[in-house]
Amino acid sequence: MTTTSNEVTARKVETTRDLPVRTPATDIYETEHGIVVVADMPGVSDKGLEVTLENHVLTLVGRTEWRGPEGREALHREFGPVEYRRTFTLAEDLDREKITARIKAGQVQVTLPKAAKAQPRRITVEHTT
Amino acid sequence: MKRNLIPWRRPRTESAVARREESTPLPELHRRMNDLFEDFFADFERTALGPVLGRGWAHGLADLPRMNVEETDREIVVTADLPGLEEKDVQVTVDDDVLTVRGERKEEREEKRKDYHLMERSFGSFHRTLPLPAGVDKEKIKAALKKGVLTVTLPKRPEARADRKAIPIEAG
Repeated sequence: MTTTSNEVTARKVETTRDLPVRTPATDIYETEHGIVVVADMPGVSDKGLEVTLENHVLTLVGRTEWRGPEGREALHREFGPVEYRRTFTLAEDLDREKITARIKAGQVQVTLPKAAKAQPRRITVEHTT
Repeated sequence: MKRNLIPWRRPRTESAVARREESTPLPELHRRMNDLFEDFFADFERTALGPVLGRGWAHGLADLPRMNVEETDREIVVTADLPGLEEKDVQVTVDDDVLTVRGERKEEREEKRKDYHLMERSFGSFHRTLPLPAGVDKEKIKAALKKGVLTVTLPKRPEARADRKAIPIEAG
C-alpha cells in the first residue's frame, strides 16, 4: 500500500495543495499478535490512500476524490473534499516488514504484527532425572 | 422550499480544517493547535463525562452523519458520510415527503482485542430526516453507497423542472 513510484507521489502531492486537512477518527487496539489501527476516511478509495513508514513514524494520508457540486448548486454543506492525515510513532517491537493496510467502505485498517521476539513464547523446561 | 431542505443537526465542534502549507509556519501552527484541541477532547471522552456525551462526539460523527444537499434543474442530490457501512446496514425511505436515512454501525468483533490505545470512532444507530420539496418523483429515487459515502439522487418530475425560468432582462 505504500507508494510504488515517484511519479505517483509527485502527482498526489500536487493535488493536495488546496485540500483542507482533517484528522480522521481513529481506534488503536492491541491483539495477541500486534497492533491494529482503524481510521475513518469516508470518500477515500485505495487510489487516494497512502500509508508510509519512515523510521518509526507511520503516516496515513487519505484524499477524497472530488465530490463537489459539479455544476450542482450547493444548498447545504457539511463536508467537502479533504485530506485525512494522521501520524503515529511505532514501538520498537513491531515487525516493520509485515505491516499491511487495506481500505474498505472508507475505513482504513492497518495491521502491525509484533516482531517474533516480542511474541509471548513458552519455554520448554527440560526434564532431567 | 430551499429552507426545507436543510437537514437538522446538532452543533458540533469543527475538526481540523487548517490548510496544509508546510512552507509557512503559521498555518502549520494552526493545524497543530487544532490537533491539540481534538486530542484534548478525545482524552476528555474517556473520562467520567465520556459515557454521558457519547463516544466520538468530539470528532463530529457523534450519532449523526454529515450530509450535503445539492440541486440542479433536474434533480436533488443528497450525500452522507457513512464510513464503514455497507448496503445492508443502511435504509433509505421516503414517506409523506420526508426522506429518512437510518442505519447502524456495528463494531466488527472478529478477533480478541486486548487493550485500546485510542478510541475515537463512534458506533451505534443513527437516523436523519430531510423534508423534501414538492415535485420530487418518488418512484425514481436512487441510492448508492460507495467508499463509505451514501448518495441519494432524487429526480424532479418534468413539471417541476420547468419551474425555473430565466427572466430576460430588457435593455434600458
